[in-house]
Amino acid sequence: MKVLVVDDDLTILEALKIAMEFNDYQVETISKGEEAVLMAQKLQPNIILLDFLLSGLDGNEVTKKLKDNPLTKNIPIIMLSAHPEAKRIASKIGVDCFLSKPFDLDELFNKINNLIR
Amino acid sequence: MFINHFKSKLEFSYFSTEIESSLMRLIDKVSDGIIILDNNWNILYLNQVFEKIFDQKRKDIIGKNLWLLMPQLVGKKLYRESSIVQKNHKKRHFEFYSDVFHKWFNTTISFSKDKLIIYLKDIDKQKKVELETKNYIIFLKSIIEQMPVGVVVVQAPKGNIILKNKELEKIFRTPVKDISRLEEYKTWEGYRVKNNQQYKPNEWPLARSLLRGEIVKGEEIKIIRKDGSVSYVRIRSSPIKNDEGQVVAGVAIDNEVTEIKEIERKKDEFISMASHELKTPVTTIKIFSQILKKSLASSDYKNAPTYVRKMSDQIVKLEKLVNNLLDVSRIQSKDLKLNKRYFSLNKLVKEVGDTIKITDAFHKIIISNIDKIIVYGDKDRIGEVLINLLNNAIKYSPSVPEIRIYIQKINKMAVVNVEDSGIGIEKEHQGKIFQRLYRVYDKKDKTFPGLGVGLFISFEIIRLHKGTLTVESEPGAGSIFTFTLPLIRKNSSHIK
Repeated sequence: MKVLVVDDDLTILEALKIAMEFNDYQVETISKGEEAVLMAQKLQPNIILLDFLLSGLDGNEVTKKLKDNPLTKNIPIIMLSAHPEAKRIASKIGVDCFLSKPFDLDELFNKINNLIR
Repeated sequence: MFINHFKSKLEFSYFSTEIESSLMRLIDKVSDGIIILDNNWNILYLNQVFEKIFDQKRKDIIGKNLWLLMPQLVGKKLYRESSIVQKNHKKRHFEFYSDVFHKWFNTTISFSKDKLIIYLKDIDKQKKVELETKNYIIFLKSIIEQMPVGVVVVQAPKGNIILKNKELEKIFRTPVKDISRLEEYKTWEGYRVKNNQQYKPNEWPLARSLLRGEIVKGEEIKIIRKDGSVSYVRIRSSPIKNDEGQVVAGVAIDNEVTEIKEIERKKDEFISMASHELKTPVTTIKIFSQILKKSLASSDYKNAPTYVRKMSDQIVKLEKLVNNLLDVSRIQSKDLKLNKRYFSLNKLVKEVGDTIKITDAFHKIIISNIDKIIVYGDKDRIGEVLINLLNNAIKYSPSVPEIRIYIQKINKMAVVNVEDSGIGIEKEHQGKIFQRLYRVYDKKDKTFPGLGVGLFISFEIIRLHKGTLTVESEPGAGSIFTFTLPLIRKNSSHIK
């Protein structure tokens, strides 16, 4: 099971990588939006965990690019954010699920399982 | 005797005695003063009112020369005007204030059959009311002019302006004559803040008050001025009605709220950013605590120390954020306390430089201290300022390793420069980066790097030490932040 984690905060990236690997996922981490779009095409992950606020392309723009591309449009996206506006925006742009930071790991894994089943 | 004398001089012989005497009684009783003089200014007749004005008995002054009797009037307005009439025989009518009688009079002087008739009407009361009203209007106008809100009063039904102040022109940034009639309102672009609907000419608050008598209690309007700038205005308006209840005018009070809106927006943004910044370390701590719990539950202790260390790093970060927020709030309430003592500034700079070297291997901090400097201040707080300036220098010069610090004594001040060769700061931001909620936004970089209150706190710490914190910067070439501290003499044995 492959997961792509995109977040501009390196400590969160590291924590999520450890948590994912702890549950036997194969994890790739990226902190920049543009690179995330390319990596998603190359890696073809089973799921993408995407932060809303990113430098360069933000979570909103990354989602649009992924959903517009036939190569990536079927990969489920979970948006993770502490931004108060993010949930409202996320529902409009077609992310598959939204979790507000700080989130519960068990809840995250439940969502992942639901989406890739 | 008086009547006979009067009769012979005035030649009213064609009146019957009866009519004559009733006419005289009438003249005598009128409320205005009447005095009749001959060619040589001798008094032929004066009525009761004049008796009172002169404060003399009629019988004592009939036949006497008016100017000899009242020498204080010679050369004054009444004297001058009477002389003119006596010369040219033309009637004169005027108002004047007599400083002899301390009253205002409305006067008519006429010439008839060699006789000068002075008619004096006491208008003191009306005149005082009139002057008071005039003063009142002057006061009112200057009060309206001084008001910090735009005021305009317009006449029904067309909306011609009868009163306005400068603030109104400041808000609209255009001469008010351009909005002086309702029909001109079509040239204005304004939107209700509530629903972003554009106003039609007769929907503006003042138009509604004038046309429909509506009282508008405060409507927020986004106005696009003719120069393209945007202004937020809160308008109250009300009709002015006459005794019959008809709308004769309308008044509008325009309060510009652009600045308040901007402060509100910055505050909201700050709260949203602060909560984002606080949630980030909390998220990391939460993830590690859950992994730790799981590994401990499965008796996997191998990585536990790593998880705990990472959690404690984040707790330190969180603590710093909370302290920053507390400092901002202390500064706001003027409650930031300094713990002052004498200390060596050059030693502190070296300590801070060494601490930073441990966490950042790429950047090289070069300290050039010409002088050993002892200052009196809060060592920890000054240390915070140095850490903040050095961290900024590092953060904004990611590809240039050298950061230089200079410490000097200049004109009884300790002067510290922190110089980097990084990305620099655009001119438009340089004056504002020390403000509380000011953030420099990079259009490409939409993330929030930190709380953005570091320079504000540093600025306040230095200011509380009666020093200054300033910046010189060239975009693309780097920045020099300089702070100064006043030098206070002290025996060196007290230094810690």
